[in-house]
Amino acid sequence: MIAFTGIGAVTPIGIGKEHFWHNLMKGYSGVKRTDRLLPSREIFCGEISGLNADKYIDDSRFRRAAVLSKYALIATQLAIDDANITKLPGKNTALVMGITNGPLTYTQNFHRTLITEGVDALSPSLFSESVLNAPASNISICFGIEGSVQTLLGGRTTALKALILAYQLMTLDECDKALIVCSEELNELSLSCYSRLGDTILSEGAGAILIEKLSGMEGPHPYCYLAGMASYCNPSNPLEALAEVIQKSLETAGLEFGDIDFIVTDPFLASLHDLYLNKIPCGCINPLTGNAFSAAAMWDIILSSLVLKYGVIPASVRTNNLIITDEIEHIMICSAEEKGVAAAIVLSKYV
Amino acid sequence: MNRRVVVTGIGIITAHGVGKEKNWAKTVSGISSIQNITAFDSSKYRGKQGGEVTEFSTTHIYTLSGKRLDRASHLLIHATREALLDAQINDEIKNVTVLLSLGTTLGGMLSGERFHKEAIKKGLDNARTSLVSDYLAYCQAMNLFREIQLKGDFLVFSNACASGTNAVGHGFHVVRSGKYKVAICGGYDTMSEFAFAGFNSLMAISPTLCRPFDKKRDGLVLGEGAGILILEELEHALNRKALIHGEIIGYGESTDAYHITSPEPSGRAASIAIKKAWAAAGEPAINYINAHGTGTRYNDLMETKAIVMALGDKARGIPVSSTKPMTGHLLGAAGAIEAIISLFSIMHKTLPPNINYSCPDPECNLNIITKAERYDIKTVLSNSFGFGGSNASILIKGYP
Repeated sequence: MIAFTGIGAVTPIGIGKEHFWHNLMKGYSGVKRTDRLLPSREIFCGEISGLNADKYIDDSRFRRAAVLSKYALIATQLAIDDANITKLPGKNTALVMGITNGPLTYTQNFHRTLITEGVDALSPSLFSESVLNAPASNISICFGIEGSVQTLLGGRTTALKALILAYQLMTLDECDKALIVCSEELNELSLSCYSRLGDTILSEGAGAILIEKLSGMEGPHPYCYLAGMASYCNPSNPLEALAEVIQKSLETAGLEFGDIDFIVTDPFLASLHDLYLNKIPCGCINPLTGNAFSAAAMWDIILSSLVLKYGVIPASVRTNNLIITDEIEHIMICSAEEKGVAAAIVLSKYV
Repeated sequence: MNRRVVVTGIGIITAHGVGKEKNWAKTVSGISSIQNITAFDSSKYRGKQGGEVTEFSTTHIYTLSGKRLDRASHLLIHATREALLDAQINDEIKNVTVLLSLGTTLGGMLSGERFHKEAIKKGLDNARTSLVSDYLAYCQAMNLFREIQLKGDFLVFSNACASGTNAVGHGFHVVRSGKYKVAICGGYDTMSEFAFAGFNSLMAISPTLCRPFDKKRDGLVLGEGAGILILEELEHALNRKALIHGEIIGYGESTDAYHITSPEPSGRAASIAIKKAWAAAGEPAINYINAHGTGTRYNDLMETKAIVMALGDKARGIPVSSTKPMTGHLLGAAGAIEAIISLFSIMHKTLPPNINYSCPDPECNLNIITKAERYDIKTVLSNSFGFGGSNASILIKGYP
C-alpha cells in the first residue's frame, strides 16, 4: 500500500497546507487583476506575491534558481517537514517532477540576451537553470535525492502521470519513498499567448506530495492511500480516453463508480459533466487559484488528500450541489487535455 | 513474472544520414559527419561545427498541418515510421495499446527561437502564437500520437542527456512487467542555437574536434536527430513472426545530487546506475561498452572511474568507444541512438571506433577502440549521463 504522508503547497491562495486549507474553507480567491507581468494590458491571474524564498530554503546555491525551481524547492521542503522527516534516505528516495511550460522566463532572457547583446553577454547559469530538468536537479541537490529523479513533460495530466510513475518505481523496488512535485511560473510569454488564444486564467506555484510504502513508513498518520490509477491517450476519440481512465482507475481500486464520494476534475470537461458529474458530487480548485497546468492538478491532489483527512469538502470548490455522504472514503481525481490525453487516480481514506 | 523484452524495430536519423544501413556503414567506416553548422551563424562561437542532418528536411504529414510542425516533430515522426516499418507492425499498431516513451531536452525549441525573435522584433503581442503550438517539449509526442493514430499512453522524459536512455529504460520496465506488449521508445532533438550558445557559455563546446578519452580532449560537439526502438514482449514478437534484432536485459538509473552541470567527480553515483543495470541482467560478461564519452574533461574522467568502480578491474579490458565524435552529441536522442548503435554492434559483430583518439589519457585508462574491428560481441553496456546528475545505463544482448 502506498500512503500519502507529506504535503507541500505553494499556491496563490496560500503557502503551506494550513494556510491553503484555511483559505479554501474561507472561499478566498487568489485570482487578481494585475499588469505586473504583461505591461501591455491588465489581466486576471493567480499570482504568488510576497513570498520570501529564503524563509524556507536557506541555501545560497539556489538564490539564482528560476522562479519555478524556487516554488518547487519550497513545496518539497514543506512536504518533507509535514511528513516529520528530518533527512530523506537519499538512495531509497525517488523524485518525479511534472512540468508544463518550464523555466520560460530564464529561457526567454537567455535568448533575448543572445539576440540583442551577443554571445559574450550570455550567462552560463541562466542557461543551466533554463534546462527543463533544472528544477528536479535543484531538488535532488538540495535534499540529497540519489535514487531515480525524473522530469516528465506534459499538460495538466502530468501531475497524475508523475504520481503513477512514482508508484511504478516503488513497485519495482527502486525506492521506499518518492516525492512528486509539479511547478509552474507565470511568464509574459505564456500570459500573452494564452490570453490571445482566449484561454484560461493562468496561475503559478507548486505542489509536492511525499508518498511512502506503508511498511516502512516513519511519519505521522497518513492522509490517504493511492487506490487506483490509469492514464490513456486516444486522439481520435477523447471521450473514450476519458471513459477508459475512469473505468481503469476504478478497476485497479476494486471499486464501482457509485463508491466514489467526490470527484475532483478540470472545469473544462463538459463531456465529463454529461457522463458522470450529474451523478456524483464534484469540485475543482481552478476557479480559486487559476490554471497552473500540472501544478494545478497537483493542488487538486492535495485538496483531495486534505478532504479525506479532515472529512469535509470546502464549499468554495464545489461545482455541483449533490448531497455529500456522511463519510468521505474515496475521491477520484481525473484530468483530460485536448487531443485525447486523460488520466485518473482514486485516493482512499486511510483507516 | 518478468517478461523478456526484445527489439523488433529501429528508426534512426543522424548526421550520418537516414536509416539503419547508412548509419551503420558510416559508423564502422570511422568517417565523421561533423561539418560547419549551416542552421545558424556559428562563427561567433568557440566551436563552429556540429552534426546536422543535412539529407532530411521534412517528412510526409497526413493528419496534421506539416508546415506548422517544428523540425523536431518531423524528425520524430519520420524515425518512428521507419521503426514501425522495420518491425513490420505498421498495420497492427493502430489496434494495439502502446506506450510511447520519449526523451528530449529541447522539444520544439526551433519554434521557440523563431517566436522569441518575432517577439523582440514586432512585440510580444504580435508574435505568431502558431509558433508556440509546437514549442512546448511534449507537443511532439502528441503530434506523433495523432499522426500515427496510436492508442495507449505517452510519457515524455526530460532528464537532459540521459533522457533517451531513461525513455528506453522505462519502456523496458513496462514491457517486462507485462503492462504493455509493445512500447515505442527513443529520443529526438534538433540543432538549436539556444542549446549551442548555452553549451558554448559553459565552455563545453570543443573548438577543435570531439576526442573522448583523449588527453587533449577539449569539449563536445552537438548533433541532432532521432532514434526510435520498438520494444516488444518476446512472446508477442514470436507470435507475429517478427524479426528480432536483440534483447534489452537490464536498466539502471541513479542521481548525483551534486551539481547542476558538473558530474560528481568520483563516479560513485554513475557507477550505481551501471551496477543496477548489470545486476538486473544477472551480471553477464560485457563484451563492449558504448560510452557516454562526450569529450569533456570532467565527463570522461568520471565515466572511466564509474565503469571501473561498477565492474571492477576487469573493466579495463572491455572494449570501449564513444560514437559521439562522428555524429555529435544528440542530447535527448543520444541514449536512444547509442542503444541502436550498440544493437548494430552485436548484430554485425563489430566494434564501432572512437575516432579522433590519438593521445591516451593515463587517467582514462580504458580499452579504447580506435578502429572498427570484428569482435564476438554478445552483450553491450550503454551509458548516458546528463546535466543535474542524471545517470542511466542499459544492457543489451543479441537474440537468440
